[in-house]
Amino acid sequence: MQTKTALETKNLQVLYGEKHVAHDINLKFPQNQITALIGASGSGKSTVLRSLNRMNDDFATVKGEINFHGVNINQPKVNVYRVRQQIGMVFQQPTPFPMSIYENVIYGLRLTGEKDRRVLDQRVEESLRQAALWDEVRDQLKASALALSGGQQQRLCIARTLAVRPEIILMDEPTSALDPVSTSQIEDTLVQLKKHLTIIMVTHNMQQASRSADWTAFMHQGHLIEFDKTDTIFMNPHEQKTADYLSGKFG
Amino acid sequence: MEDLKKRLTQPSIESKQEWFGKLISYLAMILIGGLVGIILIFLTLKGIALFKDNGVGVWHFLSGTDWQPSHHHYGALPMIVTSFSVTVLSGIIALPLALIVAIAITEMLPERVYQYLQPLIELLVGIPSVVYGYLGLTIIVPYLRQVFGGTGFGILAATCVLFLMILPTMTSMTIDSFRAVPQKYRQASIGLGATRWQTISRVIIPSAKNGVLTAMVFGMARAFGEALAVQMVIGNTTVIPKGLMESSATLTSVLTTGIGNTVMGTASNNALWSLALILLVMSLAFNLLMRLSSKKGAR
Repeated sequence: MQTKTALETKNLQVLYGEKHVAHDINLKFPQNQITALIGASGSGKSTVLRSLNRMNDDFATVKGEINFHGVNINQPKVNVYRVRQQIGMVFQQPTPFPMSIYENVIYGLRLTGEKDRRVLDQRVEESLRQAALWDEVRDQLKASALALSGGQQQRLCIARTLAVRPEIILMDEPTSALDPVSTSQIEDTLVQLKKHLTIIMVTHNMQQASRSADWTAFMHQGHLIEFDKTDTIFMNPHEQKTADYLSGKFG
Repeated sequence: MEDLKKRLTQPSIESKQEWFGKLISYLAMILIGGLVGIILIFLTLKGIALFKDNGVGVWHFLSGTDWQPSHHHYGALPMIVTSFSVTVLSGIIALPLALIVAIAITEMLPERVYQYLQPLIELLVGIPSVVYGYLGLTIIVPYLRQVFGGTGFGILAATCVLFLMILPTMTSMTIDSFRAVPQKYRQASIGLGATRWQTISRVIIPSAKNGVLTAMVFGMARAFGEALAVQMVIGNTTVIPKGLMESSATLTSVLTTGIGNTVMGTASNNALWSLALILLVMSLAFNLLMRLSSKKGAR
């Protein structure tokens, strides 16, 4: 791989109690690229994604290494709050808090104790612009975020994640609850965003993976089957299982 | 053809059932609405009799501090002040406790704890108030007597009993409103690097605010209307209390004490009805407050 690696997993294993849901996952997520994790339901891709910023701490046992800037962040002494500021997360369902648009965006900044109005104002505009929502909401920043449409809410959640300036954003099927128009808006946004950061995305939508992802990892029953450039995965997969999945033979 | 036309337009067993069901529901609604209406009218008529027939001024009744029906002194202020004092005090003490228990149960302890505790809390809600009064009489009053001196009866004892009585209700309702906060808010907050405490204080409590407020008003409404348990521990002297250990009397406790000792239609009896009218107005106010606080939450 030519590009720099933003995040690397080494022999990552995830267990729910006795149940092994991810085996020996070795992945190098390239910097400033979009990587898609695809696979059937129950293949372990969401589980792996959530482990990357330690969101699985309360539910599962995660073994192996997750290297970020040369630090293994999968060890007890790591400050998970700082990790999650660097590696943000956007969920399947839009999750705006019941507060104003402005307060939603600066939520993460407030957690770090930022109080300077100018910094907050500036960061709100910057994040909303990056998430392609600024023009739609600039006049109603004080309005409740719950009044926005589903697509706008999801872009607000992306802006909220961006506001703490993370290096990596994890996305768990970010558009599966949205209509096609909102979906393509968000995909356009992601392509813009990768200039500044690295995106790792779980998706069930094959077109979405082929349209927006630079790299694709295919998982099956807790195993990583194949990881390569998206074009290679979709055009010339090396593994028979990948080809079968993409042609709809199972999944 | 003719047969089908008939079947499509004529009533059948199903349509009659539907009609019958509607009739029953409407009758039930009229009955309940009628009952509430009758209570309101009856209480209002009886309540204003003191002012109309016995010539006592409304303002004099509300602001007077001397309550001696046998000597035609009808000042209800001491009871009004005491009722509000014990209600507000018990509500203020119960709120933080209800909040802490609710936070612990919904946000920190495993789900199993909630499953064991919820039935227990509901059991406490269902205990008759006389039991709480008895606890107050046999445990709280002697204890207060020991610690602070005096008789032990008074505002503080009543506050303690009411606090014990409304705490389960308020806790249970606060837990419900915390559990109604969508799980995705917690996930999203933690995903942004928030600690558990930051999530609780910045997202969960603000989201559940209206529910918690409703719980508090509900608990206070119950405290305000409680007669028996209060009567057992408050000392029943109709003076404006000057301290927490002073004996006093609430609207309800004066009502229960006096209603059996007066003759229907006399001024002293009418005066009690006027107290009841104040109670009714206050309960309606509490209800309205509850409506307002829960409506805001539905936004």
